[in-house]
Amino acid sequence: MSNSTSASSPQPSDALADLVGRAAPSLVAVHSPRWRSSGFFWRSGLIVTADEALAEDGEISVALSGGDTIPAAVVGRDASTDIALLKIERSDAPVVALEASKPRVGAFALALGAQNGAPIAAAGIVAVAGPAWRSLRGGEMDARIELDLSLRRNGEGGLALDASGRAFGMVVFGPRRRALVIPAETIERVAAKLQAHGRIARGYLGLGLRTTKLDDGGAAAIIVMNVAPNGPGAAAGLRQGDIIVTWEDRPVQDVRALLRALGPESVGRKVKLSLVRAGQPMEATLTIGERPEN
Amino acid sequence: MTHGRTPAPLAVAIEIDDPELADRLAALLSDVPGLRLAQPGETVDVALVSSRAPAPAGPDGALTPREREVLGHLAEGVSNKTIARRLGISIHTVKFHVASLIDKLDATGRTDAVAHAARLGVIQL
Repeated sequence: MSNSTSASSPQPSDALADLVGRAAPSLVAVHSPRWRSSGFFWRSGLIVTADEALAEDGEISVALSGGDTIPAAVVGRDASTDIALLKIERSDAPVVALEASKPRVGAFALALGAQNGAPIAAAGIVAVAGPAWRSLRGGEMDARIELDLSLRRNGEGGLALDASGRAFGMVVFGPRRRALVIPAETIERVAAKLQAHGRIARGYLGLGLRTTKLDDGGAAAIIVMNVAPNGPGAAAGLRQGDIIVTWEDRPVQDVRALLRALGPESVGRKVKLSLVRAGQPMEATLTIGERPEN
Repeated sequence: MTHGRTPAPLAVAIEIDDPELADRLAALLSDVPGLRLAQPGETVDVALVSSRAPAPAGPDGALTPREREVLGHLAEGVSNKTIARRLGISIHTVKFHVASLIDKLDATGRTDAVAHAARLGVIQL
């Protein structure tokens, strides 16, 4: 103990412990059948956690800071961004103010979770801070942030904090069990949709598709390989073997362009398709459905 | 103090791709006297390897049929748990296939499954 300077500049380890102590009341341990993870209060009574670490069904409860364990209900979940939103019948815990700032590579980072009413922490640095990306499941992520730290299994779904204690996202396991951060902007956007609608709707055609080339002219187009019974494609009269040449009068050349046209707002929209069936041009109007959950 | 001169335990590595089989072996061997499971990268006395040949890769040296199947489900944006239920396999096996897909398709896991699935074949939209 040096006494010349310690009175005015607290030890760094104390500063970190203080930072954990300040954030701890906003963190919860999340319990679901065979899963233990963490979560945090995003809004009053609403908890954001990792979808991947939440059982598909069964009773869910959360252990609040201090130890009370109370039941929680799923408001909505989105596997593509790994975000789930839970609700509890209590609103006295402080909510986390997420900061939509991208940390710099090399900056100090803390992963904070909870177990049994007490915080659990891991420290490291920001390993990667890249641009927006699309997850393997098609989720739009606002930044690619990875941390170099050793995340405990039950810390998944907790907060990523910077050295000042600002929360910049949720920590989850990414590819190869690296600590991946779901950025604050992504959480705000997705959790708000889950709160309003209970899900992230996706457009649905009920068609199995692959790219092909038209014999006549060689232009790229899309061929219907199969038609789901009673799906939107079937309702529009599409048949196996039809070739989709245009979508709303624009040529469709690849399946990804179609996917972009099937975002949450597309459900219920009518689209005009021009087709080639057995060499003959024809038209169809398809009403985009909502992709069934299972 | 007496020294029993017990030899150092044998370091055993489990070099088996199937995570379920590897987990079972690890559990069985974890409390066998005279053996210990090796740390990653450690020089070992013995290694356990699978007697099964690796699953044959596709015609372009790419994906196994099961991987293609998993890729198709990933492209729909569903969770590992849903894929496990649909295919009737464990979530660990799904994660194993997903990790393998990331290795084969894109070392970072930053490109969405739809792009890969569309390149490889039929995609359900």
